[in-house]
Amino acid sequence: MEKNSIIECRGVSFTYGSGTPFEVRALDSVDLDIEKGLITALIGHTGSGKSTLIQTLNALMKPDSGKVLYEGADINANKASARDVRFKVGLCFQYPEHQLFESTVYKDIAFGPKNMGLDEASVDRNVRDAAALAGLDEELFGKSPFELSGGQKRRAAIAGVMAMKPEVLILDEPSAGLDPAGRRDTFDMIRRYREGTGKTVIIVSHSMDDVAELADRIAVVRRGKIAIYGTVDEVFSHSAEMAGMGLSVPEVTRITDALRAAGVPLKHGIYTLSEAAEELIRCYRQKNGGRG
Amino acid sequence: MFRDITIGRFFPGESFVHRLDPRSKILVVFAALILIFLCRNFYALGLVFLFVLTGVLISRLSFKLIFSGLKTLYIIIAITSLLQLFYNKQGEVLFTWGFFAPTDKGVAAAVFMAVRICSLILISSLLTYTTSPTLLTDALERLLSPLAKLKVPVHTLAMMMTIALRFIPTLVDETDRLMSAQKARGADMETGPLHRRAKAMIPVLVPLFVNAFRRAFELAYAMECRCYHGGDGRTRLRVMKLGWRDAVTFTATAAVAAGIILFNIYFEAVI
Ligand SMILES: Nc1ncnc2c1ncn2[C@@H]1O[C@H](COP(=O)(O)OP(=O)(O)O)[C@@H](O)[C@H]1O
Ligand SMILES: [Mg+2]
Repeated sequence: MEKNSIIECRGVSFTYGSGTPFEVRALDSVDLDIEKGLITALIGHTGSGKSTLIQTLNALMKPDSGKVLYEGADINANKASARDVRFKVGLCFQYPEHQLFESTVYKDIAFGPKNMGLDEASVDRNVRDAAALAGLDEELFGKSPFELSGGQKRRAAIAGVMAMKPEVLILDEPSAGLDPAGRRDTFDMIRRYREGTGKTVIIVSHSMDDVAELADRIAVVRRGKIAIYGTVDEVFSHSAEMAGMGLSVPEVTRITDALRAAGVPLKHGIYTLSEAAEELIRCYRQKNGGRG
Repeated sequence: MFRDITIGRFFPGESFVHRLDPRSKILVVFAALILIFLCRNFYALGLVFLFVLTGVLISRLSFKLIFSGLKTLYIIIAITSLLQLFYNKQGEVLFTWGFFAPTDKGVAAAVFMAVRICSLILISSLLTYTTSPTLLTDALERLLSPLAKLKVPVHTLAMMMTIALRFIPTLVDETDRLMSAQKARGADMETGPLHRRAKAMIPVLVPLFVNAFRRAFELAYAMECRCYHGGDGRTRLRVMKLGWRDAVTFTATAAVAAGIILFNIYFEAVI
Protein backbone atom coordinates (compact mmCIF):
# COMPACT_ATOMS: atom_id res chain seq x y z
CA MET A 1 0.00 0.00 0.00
CA GLU A 2 1.54 3.28 -0.99
CA LYS A 3 -1.14 5.23 0.81
CA ASN A 4 -1.00 4.98 4.56
CA SER A 5 -4.69 4.62 5.35
CA ILE A 6 -5.92 4.41 8.92
CA ILE A 7 -9.61 3.93 8.10
CA GLU A 8 -10.96 2.33 4.96
CA CYS A 9 -14.59 2.13 3.87
CA ARG A 10 -15.36 -0.63 1.43
CA GLY A 11 -18.78 -0.42 -0.23
CA VAL A 12 -20.47 0.92 2.88
CA SER A 13 -24.26 1.27 2.54
CA PHE A 14 -26.77 2.36 5.12
CA THR A 15 -30.55 2.76 4.99
CA TYR A 16 -32.67 4.41 7.67
CA GLY A 17 -36.01 2.82 8.52
CA SER A 18 -35.77 0.02 6.01
CA GLY A 19 -39.13 -1.66 5.50
CA THR A 20 -41.16 1.40 6.52
CA PRO A 21 -42.63 4.11 4.30
CA PHE A 22 -39.92 6.42 5.65
CA GLU A 23 -37.05 4.50 4.09
CA VAL A 24 -34.05 6.70 3.30
CA ARG A 25 -30.90 5.39 1.65
CA ALA A 26 -28.35 7.58 3.40
CA LEU A 27 -25.16 5.86 2.20
CA ASP A 28 -24.83 4.13 -1.12
CA SER A 29 -21.78 1.91 -1.36
CA VAL A 30 -19.18 4.37 -0.14
CA ASP A 31 -15.49 3.72 -0.74
CA LEU A 32 -13.19 6.04 1.13
CA ASP A 33 -9.67 5.94 2.56
CA ILE A 34 -8.77 8.22 5.43
CA GLU A 35 -5.02 8.86 5.35
CA LYS A 36 -3.08 8.72 8.58
CA GLY A 37 -1.94 11.98 10.11
CA LEU A 38 -3.86 14.21 7.73
CA ILE A 39 -6.88 16.43 8.16
CA THR A 40 -9.65 15.20 5.88
CA ALA A 41 -12.71 17.34 5.33
CA LEU A 42 -16.06 15.87 4.38
CA ILE A 43 -18.16 18.43 2.63
CA GLY A 44 -21.59 18.21 1.11
CA HIS A 45 -25.09 19.52 1.22
CA THR A 46 -27.36 19.04 4.21
CA GLY A 47 -28.80 15.53 3.96
CA SER A 48 -26.01 14.23 1.75
CA GLY A 49 -25.07 11.62 4.34
CA LYS A 50 -22.01 13.10 6.06
CA SER A 51 -23.22 12.56 9.61
CA THR A 52 -24.32 9.03 8.80
CA LEU A 53 -20.95 8.26 7.24
CA ILE A 54 -18.92 9.36 10.25
CA GLN A 55 -21.12 7.32 12.58
CA THR A 56 -20.23 4.20 10.64
CA LEU A 57 -16.53 5.01 11.15
CA ASN A 58 -16.65 4.32 14.89
CA ALA A 59 -19.22 1.52 14.79
CA LEU A 60 -22.09 3.58 16.22
CA MET A 61 -23.92 2.52 13.09
CA LYS A 62 -23.39 -0.81 11.48
CA PRO A 63 -23.46 -0.68 7.69
CA ASP A 64 -26.18 -2.75 5.99
CA SER A 65 -23.51 -3.97 3.63
CA GLY A 66 -19.85 -3.28 3.15
CA LYS A 67 -17.05 -3.02 5.66
CA VAL A 68 -15.25 -0.38 7.67
CA LEU A 69 -11.64 -1.26 8.38
CA TYR A 70 -9.53 0.35 11.09
CA GLU A 71 -5.86 -0.36 10.46
CA GLY A 72 -6.96 -3.23 8.25
CA ALA A 73 -9.32 -4.90 10.76
CA ASP A 74 -13.10 -4.95 10.44
CA ILE A 75 -14.45 -2.79 13.26
CA ASN A 76 -17.79 -4.59 13.29
CA ALA A 77 -16.20 -8.03 13.65
CA ASN A 78 -17.64 -8.43 17.17
CA LYS A 79 -19.06 -6.41 20.08
CA ALA A 80 -15.69 -5.91 21.73
CA SER A 81 -14.08 -4.54 18.59
CA ALA A 82 -17.02 -2.19 18.11
CA ARG A 83 -16.51 -0.74 21.60
CA ASP A 84 -12.72 -0.65 21.31
CA VAL A 85 -12.83 1.37 18.14
CA ARG A 86 -14.75 4.14 19.93
CA PHE A 87 -11.67 4.91 21.99
CA LYS A 88 -9.48 4.99 18.91
CA VAL A 89 -11.89 6.92 16.74
CA GLY A 90 -13.28 9.79 18.81
CA LEU A 91 -16.48 11.26 17.46
CA CYS A 92 -17.78 14.65 18.43
CA PHE A 93 -21.36 15.18 17.34
CA GLN A 94 -22.89 18.32 15.93
CA TYR A 95 -23.79 20.87 18.65
CA PRO A 96 -21.76 18.89 21.21
CA GLU A 97 -22.55 21.47 23.89
CA HIS A 98 -26.02 19.93 24.09
CA GLN A 99 -24.56 16.77 25.56
CA LEU A 100 -22.78 18.33 28.55
CA PHE A 101 -24.19 16.83 31.71
CA GLU A 102 -21.73 16.77 34.62
CA SER A 103 -21.75 19.11 37.59
CA THR A 104 -18.39 20.64 36.73
CA VAL A 105 -16.43 21.30 33.57
CA TYR A 106 -13.57 19.14 34.83
CA LYS A 107 -15.81 16.13 35.45
CA ASP A 108 -17.44 16.50 32.07
CA ILE A 109 -14.13 16.49 30.21
CA ALA A 110 -13.01 13.54 32.35
CA PHE A 111 -16.06 11.42 31.40
CA GLY A 112 -14.47 9.91 28.28
CA PRO A 113 -11.02 9.17 29.75
CA LYS A 114 -12.68 7.60 32.82
CA ASN A 115 -14.76 5.33 30.61
CA MET A 116 -11.53 4.19 29.00
CA GLY A 117 -10.47 2.89 32.39
CA LEU A 118 -7.41 5.14 32.75
CA ASP A 119 -5.94 5.66 36.21
CA GLU A 120 -6.55 8.92 38.06
CA ALA A 121 -3.22 10.49 37.15
CA SER A 122 -3.64 9.82 33.43
CA VAL A 123 -7.21 11.09 33.50
CA ASP A 124 -6.00 14.28 35.16
CA ARG A 125 -3.20 14.72 32.63
CA ASN A 126 -5.54 14.13 29.68
CA VAL A 127 -8.11 16.58 31.02
CA ARG A 128 -5.52 19.30 31.55
CA ASP A 129 -3.99 18.73 28.12
CA ALA A 130 -7.37 18.88 26.41
CA ALA A 131 -8.40 21.98 28.32
CA ALA A 132 -5.16 23.67 27.31
CA LEU A 133 -5.83 22.83 23.66
CA ALA A 134 -9.34 24.15 24.06
CA GLY A 135 -8.05 27.36 25.59
CA LEU A 136 -10.11 26.78 28.72
CA ASP A 137 -8.60 28.30 31.87
CA GLU A 138 -8.11 25.92 34.76
CA GLU A 139 -10.15 28.27 36.92
CA LEU A 140 -13.20 27.24 34.87
CA PHE A 141 -12.75 23.62 35.96
CA GLY A 142 -14.95 23.98 39.04
CA LYS A 143 -17.74 25.79 37.23
CA SER A 144 -20.91 24.15 35.98
CA PRO A 145 -20.67 23.60 32.23
CA PHE A 146 -24.08 25.24 31.91
CA GLU A 147 -22.63 28.55 33.13
CA LEU A 148 -20.11 28.86 30.30
CA SER A 149 -20.58 31.07 27.26
CA GLY A 150 -21.71 29.48 24.00
CA GLY A 151 -18.23 29.29 22.49
CA GLN A 152 -16.72 28.01 25.74
CA LYS A 153 -19.38 25.32 26.01
CA ARG A 154 -18.58 24.16 22.50
CA ARG A 155 -14.86 24.03 23.24
CA ALA A 156 -15.42 22.23 26.54
CA ALA A 157 -17.52 19.63 24.76
CA ILE A 158 -14.89 19.13 22.04
CA ALA A 159 -12.24 18.90 24.76
CA GLY A 160 -14.28 16.05 26.25
CA VAL A 161 -13.57 14.04 23.10
CA MET A 162 -9.97 15.23 22.68
CA ALA A 163 -9.26 14.14 26.26
CA MET A 164 -9.64 10.55 25.09
CA LYS A 165 -6.62 11.20 22.82
CA PRO A 166 -8.16 9.28 19.95
CA GLU A 167 -5.99 8.23 17.02
CA VAL A 168 -8.67 9.69 14.75
CA LEU A 169 -10.68 12.69 15.87
CA ILE A 170 -13.93 13.26 14.01
CA LEU A 171 -15.86 16.50 14.38
CA ASP A 172 -19.31 17.01 12.92
CA GLU A 173 -19.76 20.63 11.85
CA PRO A 174 -17.60 21.95 14.67
CA SER A 175 -18.28 25.59 13.83
CA ALA A 176 -22.03 25.40 13.20
CA GLY A 177 -23.97 28.16 14.87
CA LEU A 178 -20.92 30.04 16.21
CA ASP A 179 -20.00 33.67 15.59
CA PRO A 180 -16.79 34.41 13.62
CA ALA A 181 -14.70 34.63 16.78
CA GLY A 182 -16.09 31.34 18.05
CA ARG A 183 -15.40 29.72 14.69
CA ARG A 184 -11.82 30.91 14.71
CA ASP A 185 -11.30 29.65 18.26
CA THR A 186 -12.70 26.27 17.31
CA PHE A 187 -10.53 25.91 14.22
CA ASP A 188 -7.44 27.10 16.12
CA MET A 189 -8.20 24.41 18.63
CA ILE A 190 -8.38 21.72 15.96
CA ARG A 191 -5.16 22.96 14.39
CA ARG A 192 -3.37 22.94 17.75
CA TYR A 193 -4.61 19.40 18.38
CA ARG A 194 -3.26 18.20 15.07
CA GLU A 195 0.06 19.96 15.40
CA GLY A 196 0.50 18.92 19.02
CA THR A 197 -0.35 15.25 18.56
CA GLY A 198 0.12 14.48 14.87
CA LYS A 199 -3.11 12.47 14.95
CA THR A 200 -5.61 12.06 12.16
CA VAL A 201 -8.54 14.46 12.02
CA ILE A 202 -11.79 14.35 10.04
CA ILE A 203 -14.01 17.40 9.98
CA VAL A 204 -17.48 17.63 8.51
CA SER A 205 -18.49 20.96 7.12
CA HIS A 206 -20.51 22.59 4.46
CA SER A 207 -18.41 25.72 4.37
CA MET A 208 -15.63 25.70 1.80
CA ASP A 209 -13.97 28.69 3.36
CA ASP A 210 -13.52 26.79 6.61
CA VAL A 211 -12.06 23.64 5.13
CA ALA A 212 -9.79 25.32 2.60
CA GLU A 213 -7.64 26.70 5.39
CA LEU A 214 -7.51 23.56 7.44
CA ALA A 215 -7.77 20.44 5.33
CA ASP A 216 -5.14 18.34 3.56
CA ARG A 217 -7.73 16.21 1.79
CA ILE A 218 -11.31 16.91 0.82
CA ALA A 219 -14.04 14.37 0.16
CA VAL A 220 -17.17 15.76 -1.42
CA VAL A 221 -20.23 13.75 -0.38
CA ARG A 222 -23.25 13.77 -2.60
CA ARG A 223 -26.43 11.73 -2.19
CA GLY A 224 -24.71 9.12 -0.09
CA LYS A 225 -21.69 8.72 -2.36
CA ILE A 226 -18.21 10.19 -2.49
CA ALA A 227 -18.41 12.42 -5.57
CA ILE A 228 -14.88 13.88 -5.52
CA TYR A 229 -11.87 13.06 -3.39
CA GLY A 230 -8.45 14.62 -3.46
CA THR A 231 -6.18 17.38 -2.24
CA VAL A 232 -7.57 20.87 -1.82
CA ASP A 233 -6.17 21.88 -5.23
CA GLU A 234 -7.54 18.84 -6.97
CA VAL A 235 -11.00 19.23 -5.52
CA PHE A 236 -11.29 22.95 -6.14
CA SER A 237 -10.16 22.49 -9.72
CA HIS A 238 -13.56 20.82 -10.22
CA SER A 239 -15.23 24.11 -9.43
CA ALA A 240 -17.84 23.81 -12.19
CA GLU A 241 -18.85 20.33 -11.04
CA MET A 242 -19.03 21.55 -7.46
CA ALA A 243 -21.20 24.49 -8.42
CA GLY A 244 -23.58 21.96 -9.95
CA MET A 245 -23.85 20.35 -6.52
CA GLY A 246 -24.64 23.65 -4.91
CA LEU A 247 -21.16 23.87 -3.40
CA SER A 248 -18.94 26.75 -4.30
CA VAL A 249 -15.23 27.33 -4.03
CA PRO A 250 -14.15 29.65 -1.20
CA GLU A 251 -15.07 33.30 -1.35
CA VAL A 252 -11.43 34.42 -1.82
CA THR A 253 -11.00 32.00 -4.72
CA ARG A 254 -13.99 33.50 -6.45
CA ILE A 255 -12.67 37.02 -5.92
CA THR A 256 -9.14 36.24 -7.09
CA ASP A 257 -10.55 34.35 -10.11
CA ALA A 258 -12.58 37.42 -10.99
CA LEU A 259 -9.52 39.64 -10.60
CA ARG A 260 -7.52 37.34 -12.87
CA ALA A 261 -10.28 37.47 -15.45
CA ALA A 262 -10.10 41.24 -15.20
CA GLY A 263 -6.40 41.12 -16.07
CA VAL A 264 -4.59 41.01 -12.73
CA PRO A 265 -1.86 38.36 -13.14
CA LEU A 266 -2.67 36.37 -10.01
CA LYS A 267 -1.71 32.71 -9.82
CA HIS A 268 -4.33 29.96 -9.88
CA GLY A 269 -5.50 28.12 -6.83
CA ILE A 270 -5.74 30.69 -4.08
CA TYR A 271 -7.91 29.32 -1.29
CA THR A 272 -7.06 31.27 1.82
CA LEU A 273 -7.02 34.89 2.79
CA SER A 274 -3.31 34.92 3.62
CA GLU A 275 -2.40 33.37 0.26
CA ALA A 276 -4.49 36.01 -1.48
CA ALA A 277 -2.83 38.81 0.46
CA GLU A 278 0.66 37.52 -0.38
CA GLU A 279 -0.19 37.12 -4.02
CA LEU A 280 -1.73 40.59 -4.26
CA ILE A 281 1.36 42.15 -2.66
CA ARG A 282 3.57 40.25 -5.12
CA CYS A 283 1.56 41.52 -8.08
CA TYR A 284 1.59 45.03 -6.73
CA ARG A 285 5.37 45.00 -6.33
CA GLN A 286 5.84 43.51 -9.80
CA LYS A 287 3.66 46.17 -11.34
CA ASN A 288 5.58 48.98 -9.68
CA GLY A 289 8.84 47.49 -10.92
CA GLY A 290 9.92 46.41 -7.47
CA ARG A 291 9.65 49.92 -6.04
CA GLY A 292 6.47 49.36 -3.99
CA MET B 1 -34.22 1.55 18.60
CA PHE B 2 -37.23 3.72 19.49
CA ARG B 3 -37.74 4.69 15.88
CA ASP B 4 -39.21 1.35 14.91
CA ILE B 5 -42.28 1.87 17.06
CA THR B 6 -45.15 2.68 14.72
CA ILE B 7 -48.00 2.93 17.22
CA GLY B 8 -49.28 6.48 17.41
CA ARG B 9 -47.53 7.60 14.26
CA PHE B 10 -49.14 9.46 11.44
CA PHE B 11 -48.80 8.35 7.82
CA PRO B 12 -49.99 11.11 5.48
CA GLY B 13 -52.23 10.15 2.58
CA GLU B 14 -55.15 11.13 0.41
CA SER B 15 -57.54 8.26 0.97
CA PHE B 16 -61.20 8.36 1.95
CA VAL B 17 -60.24 7.70 5.55
CA HIS B 18 -57.57 10.40 5.56
CA ARG B 19 -60.05 12.93 4.28
CA LEU B 20 -62.82 12.21 6.74
CA ASP B 21 -63.50 14.98 9.19
CA PRO B 22 -61.34 14.16 12.22
CA ARG B 23 -64.33 14.73 14.49
CA SER B 24 -66.31 12.01 12.74
CA LYS B 25 -63.31 9.74 12.88
CA ILE B 26 -63.07 10.15 16.63
CA LEU B 27 -66.79 9.59 17.09
CA VAL B 28 -66.88 6.55 14.81
CA VAL B 29 -63.83 4.98 16.44
CA PHE B 30 -65.36 5.62 19.84
CA ALA B 31 -68.61 4.01 18.70
CA ALA B 32 -66.71 1.07 17.21
CA LEU B 33 -64.83 0.49 20.46
CA ILE B 34 -68.15 0.26 22.30
CA LEU B 35 -69.62 -1.99 19.60
CA ILE B 36 -66.64 -4.35 19.80
CA PHE B 37 -67.32 -4.81 23.50
CA LEU B 38 -71.03 -5.30 22.92
CA CYS B 39 -70.53 -8.28 20.58
CA ARG B 40 -71.71 -11.51 22.14
CA ASN B 41 -71.15 -14.00 19.30
CA PHE B 42 -69.08 -14.63 16.20
CA TYR B 43 -71.67 -13.20 13.80
CA ALA B 44 -71.67 -9.85 15.55
CA LEU B 45 -67.90 -9.83 16.01
CA GLY B 46 -67.41 -10.84 12.39
CA LEU B 47 -69.49 -7.89 11.30
CA VAL B 48 -67.42 -5.42 13.33
CA PHE B 49 -64.20 -7.03 12.20
CA LEU B 50 -65.35 -6.68 8.60
CA PHE B 51 -66.14 -3.03 9.25
CA VAL B 52 -62.67 -2.43 10.71
CA LEU B 53 -61.01 -4.33 7.85
CA THR B 54 -62.91 -2.25 5.29
CA GLY B 55 -61.58 0.85 6.99
CA VAL B 56 -58.04 -0.49 6.81
CA LEU B 57 -58.48 -1.41 3.13
CA ILE B 58 -59.79 1.97 1.99
CA SER B 59 -57.17 3.80 4.01
CA ARG B 60 -54.62 2.33 1.54
CA LEU B 61 -52.11 1.81 4.34
CA SER B 62 -49.92 -1.19 3.70
CA PHE B 63 -50.96 -4.32 5.57
CA LYS B 64 -47.36 -4.85 6.56
CA LEU B 65 -47.40 -1.54 8.37
CA ILE B 66 -50.72 -2.14 10.10
CA PHE B 67 -49.70 -5.56 11.34
CA SER B 68 -46.27 -4.41 12.42
CA GLY B 69 -48.22 -2.19 14.83
CA LEU B 70 -49.82 -5.34 16.23
CA LYS B 71 -46.45 -7.00 16.69
CA THR B 72 -45.75 -5.46 20.08
CA LEU B 73 -49.15 -6.68 21.28
CA TYR B 74 -48.92 -10.27 20.06
CA ILE B 75 -47.84 -11.30 23.52
CA ILE B 76 -50.91 -9.78 25.16
CA ILE B 77 -53.14 -11.44 22.58
CA ALA B 78 -51.40 -14.77 23.12
CA ILE B 79 -51.64 -14.60 26.91
CA THR B 80 -55.32 -13.65 26.86
CA SER B 81 -56.13 -16.52 24.50
CA LEU B 82 -54.05 -19.01 26.46
CA LEU B 83 -55.81 -18.06 29.68
CA GLN B 84 -59.11 -18.89 28.03
CA LEU B 85 -57.77 -22.27 26.90
CA PHE B 86 -56.51 -23.12 30.39
CA TYR B 87 -59.24 -21.80 32.62
CA ASN B 88 -62.45 -21.88 30.65
CA LYS B 89 -64.07 -25.08 31.91
CA GLN B 90 -67.44 -24.73 30.18
CA GLY B 91 -68.52 -27.09 27.42
CA GLU B 92 -66.97 -30.39 26.39
CA VAL B 93 -63.35 -31.25 26.95
CA LEU B 94 -61.59 -31.74 23.61
CA PHE B 95 -58.53 -33.58 24.89
CA THR B 96 -56.46 -33.73 28.07
CA TRP B 97 -52.72 -33.39 28.29
CA GLY B 98 -51.63 -33.17 31.90
CA PHE B 99 -53.69 -30.42 33.43
CA PHE B 100 -54.17 -28.78 30.04
CA ALA B 101 -57.73 -29.66 29.06
CA PRO B 102 -59.18 -27.20 26.59
CA THR B 103 -62.93 -27.28 26.04
CA ASP B 104 -64.75 -26.42 22.85
CA LYS B 105 -66.18 -23.32 24.47
CA GLY B 106 -62.71 -22.43 25.70
CA VAL B 107 -61.30 -22.61 22.17
CA ALA B 108 -64.16 -20.51 20.87
CA ALA B 109 -63.60 -17.95 23.61
CA ALA B 110 -59.86 -17.85 22.91
CA VAL B 111 -60.43 -17.15 19.23
CA PHE B 112 -63.11 -14.64 20.15
CA MET B 113 -60.77 -12.73 22.47
CA ALA B 114 -57.97 -12.69 19.91
CA VAL B 115 -60.22 -11.28 17.19
CA ARG B 116 -61.68 -8.75 19.62
CA ILE B 117 -58.27 -7.44 20.71
CA CYS B 118 -57.07 -7.28 17.11
CA SER B 119 -60.15 -5.27 16.13
CA LEU B 120 -59.62 -2.88 19.03
CA ILE B 121 -56.03 -2.24 18.10
CA LEU B 122 -56.68 -2.01 14.37
CA ILE B 123 -59.45 0.55 14.67
CA SER B 124 -57.57 2.73 17.12
CA SER B 125 -54.35 2.64 15.14
CA LEU B 126 -56.36 3.45 12.02
CA LEU B 127 -57.34 6.70 13.73
CA THR B 128 -53.79 7.76 14.63
CA TYR B 129 -52.24 6.47 11.41
CA THR B 130 -54.55 8.55 9.22
CA THR B 131 -54.97 11.72 11.28
CA SER B 132 -52.23 14.19 12.03
CA PRO B 133 -51.78 14.79 15.77
CA THR B 134 -52.65 18.46 15.40
CA LEU B 135 -55.92 17.69 13.66
CA LEU B 136 -56.68 15.10 16.26
CA THR B 137 -56.32 17.45 19.21
CA ASP B 138 -58.09 20.17 17.27
CA ALA B 139 -61.05 17.86 16.73
CA LEU B 140 -61.00 16.76 20.36
CA GLU B 141 -61.08 20.37 21.44
CA ARG B 142 -64.15 20.98 19.33
CA LEU B 143 -65.91 17.86 20.47
CA LEU B 144 -65.27 18.83 24.07
CA SER B 145 -66.00 22.53 23.65
CA PRO B 146 -69.39 22.30 25.39
CA LEU B 147 -67.42 21.56 28.56
CA ALA B 148 -65.91 25.04 28.39
CA LYS B 149 -69.26 26.29 29.68
CA LEU B 150 -68.58 24.30 32.83
CA LYS B 151 -65.27 26.20 33.16
CA VAL B 152 -63.17 23.24 31.98
CA PRO B 153 -60.10 24.79 30.28
CA VAL B 154 -60.64 22.83 27.07
CA HIS B 155 -58.49 25.03 24.87
CA THR B 156 -55.55 25.01 27.27
CA LEU B 157 -55.71 21.24 27.63
CA ALA B 158 -55.87 20.78 23.88
CA MET B 159 -52.93 23.13 23.36
CA MET B 160 -50.90 21.23 25.95
CA MET B 161 -51.71 17.99 24.19
CA THR B 162 -50.80 19.40 20.79
CA ILE B 163 -47.45 20.61 22.05
CA ALA B 164 -46.75 17.35 23.86
CA LEU B 165 -47.53 15.32 20.75
CA ARG B 166 -45.49 17.66 18.61
CA PHE B 167 -42.42 17.14 20.75
CA ILE B 168 -42.54 13.37 21.11
CA PRO B 169 -40.63 12.73 17.86
CA THR B 170 -38.18 15.49 18.75
CA LEU B 171 -37.47 13.91 22.11
CA VAL B 172 -37.15 10.46 20.58
CA ASP B 173 -34.64 11.75 18.03
CA GLU B 174 -32.76 13.61 20.69
CA THR B 175 -32.59 10.57 22.98
CA ASP B 176 -31.17 8.57 20.12
CA ARG B 177 -28.60 11.21 19.34
CA LEU B 178 -27.57 11.69 22.96
CA MET B 179 -27.17 7.96 23.44
CA SER B 180 -24.93 7.84 20.39
CA ALA B 181 -22.95 10.86 21.55
CA GLN B 182 -22.32 9.40 24.98
CA LYS B 183 -21.54 6.00 23.54
CA ALA B 184 -18.95 7.72 21.40
CA ARG B 185 -17.37 8.89 24.66
CA GLY B 186 -17.26 5.33 25.87
CA ALA B 187 -20.48 5.18 27.88
CA ASP B 188 -21.65 1.59 28.14
CA MET B 189 -25.42 1.34 28.36
CA GLU B 190 -25.88 -2.19 27.15
CA THR B 191 -23.88 -4.45 29.40
CA GLY B 192 -23.59 -4.90 33.13
CA PRO B 193 -26.18 -5.28 35.89
CA LEU B 194 -29.39 -3.26 35.81
CA HIS B 195 -28.37 -0.62 38.38
CA ARG B 196 -25.17 0.08 36.42
CA ARG B 197 -27.10 0.43 33.20
CA ALA B 198 -29.59 2.75 34.91
CA LYS B 199 -26.71 4.87 36.13
CA ALA B 200 -25.25 4.91 32.64
CA MET B 201 -28.42 6.67 31.49
CA ILE B 202 -27.66 9.79 33.57
CA PRO B 203 -25.42 11.31 30.86
CA VAL B 204 -28.41 10.95 28.51
CA LEU B 205 -31.21 12.05 30.85
CA VAL B 206 -29.57 15.20 32.21
CA PRO B 207 -28.98 16.85 28.83
CA LEU B 208 -32.36 15.56 27.63
CA PHE B 209 -34.12 17.49 30.41
CA VAL B 210 -31.90 20.54 30.09
CA ASN B 211 -32.61 20.71 26.37
CA ALA B 212 -36.33 20.08 26.87
CA PHE B 213 -36.56 23.03 29.25
CA ARG B 214 -34.54 25.21 26.90
CA ARG B 215 -36.91 24.31 24.09
CA ALA B 216 -39.96 24.92 26.24
CA PHE B 217 -38.75 28.42 27.11
CA GLU B 218 -37.95 29.17 23.49
CA LEU B 219 -41.40 28.00 22.43
CA ALA B 220 -43.05 30.08 25.15
CA TYR B 221 -41.16 33.19 24.04
CA ALA B 222 -42.02 32.53 20.40
CA MET B 223 -45.70 32.13 21.26
CA GLU B 224 -45.72 35.32 23.30
CA CYS B 225 -43.96 37.20 20.53
CA ARG B 226 -46.84 36.22 18.30
CA CYS B 227 -49.31 37.51 20.89
CA TYR B 228 -50.69 34.14 21.86
CA HIS B 229 -53.05 34.67 24.78
CA GLY B 230 -55.06 31.47 25.08
CA GLY B 231 -58.33 30.44 23.57
CA ASP B 232 -60.61 33.47 23.97
CA GLY B 233 -61.47 35.19 20.72
CA ARG B 234 -59.18 33.10 18.55
CA THR B 235 -60.35 32.18 15.09
CA ARG B 236 -59.21 29.13 13.22
CA LEU B 237 -57.00 28.52 10.23
CA ARG B 238 -58.80 25.31 9.34
CA VAL B 239 -62.55 25.30 9.49
CA MET B 240 -63.89 21.78 9.80
CA LYS B 241 -66.94 20.93 7.78
CA LEU B 242 -68.82 17.69 7.59
CA GLY B 243 -69.24 16.34 4.07
CA TRP B 244 -70.64 13.38 2.13
CA ARG B 245 -67.84 11.15 3.33
CA ASP B 246 -68.89 11.71 6.89
CA ALA B 247 -72.53 11.00 6.02
CA VAL B 248 -71.54 7.71 4.37
CA THR B 249 -69.41 6.73 7.33
CA PHE B 250 -72.07 7.56 9.90
CA THR B 251 -74.64 5.55 7.95
CA ALA B 252 -72.32 2.58 7.71
CA THR B 253 -71.60 2.73 11.42
CA ALA B 254 -75.29 2.92 12.24
CA ALA B 255 -75.96 -0.08 10.00
CA VAL B 256 -73.20 -2.07 11.70
CA ALA B 257 -74.58 -1.13 15.11
CA ALA B 258 -78.07 -2.28 14.10
CA GLY B 259 -76.62 -5.52 12.70
CA ILE B 260 -74.75 -6.23 15.92
CA ILE B 261 -77.83 -5.69 18.05
CA LEU B 262 -79.83 -8.03 15.81
CA PHE B 263 -77.13 -10.72 15.80
CA ASN B 264 -76.78 -10.46 19.54
CA ILE B 265 -80.50 -11.07 19.91
CA TYR B 266 -80.91 -13.86 17.36
CA PHE B 267 -77.78 -15.92 17.91
CA GLU B 268 -76.48 -17.65 20.98
CA ALA B 269 -73.76 -15.90 22.96
CA VAL B 270 -70.22 -17.32 22.92
CA ILE B 271 -68.98 -15.56 26.01
N1 LIG C 1 -32.19 9.17 12.36
C1 LIG C 1 -32.63 9.24 11.11
N2 LIG C 1 -33.76 8.61 10.72
C2 LIG C 1 -34.18 8.65 9.45
N3 LIG C 1 -33.55 9.29 8.47
C3 LIG C 1 -32.42 9.95 8.79
C4 LIG C 1 -31.90 9.95 10.12
N4 LIG C 1 -30.76 10.68 10.14
C5 LIG C 1 -30.58 11.10 8.88
N5 LIG C 1 -31.56 10.67 8.06
C6 LIG C 1 -31.66 10.91 6.62
O1 LIG C 1 -30.50 10.41 6.01
C7 LIG C 1 -29.99 11.31 5.05
C8 LIG C 1 -28.56 11.69 5.38
O2 LIG C 1 -28.55 12.41 6.58
P1 LIG C 1 -27.25 12.92 7.29
O3 LIG C 1 -26.25 11.83 7.33
O4 LIG C 1 -27.65 13.52 8.59
O5 LIG C 1 -26.76 14.07 6.30
P2 LIG C 1 -25.81 15.32 6.56
O6 LIG C 1 -25.10 15.12 7.84
O7 LIG C 1 -24.93 15.34 5.36
O8 LIG C 1 -26.70 16.52 6.60
C9 LIG C 1 -30.95 12.47 5.03
O9 LIG C 1 -31.82 12.31 3.95
C10 LIG C 1 -31.68 12.39 6.33
O10 LIG C 1 -32.99 12.86 6.19
MG1 LIG D 1 -25.15 16.36 9.55
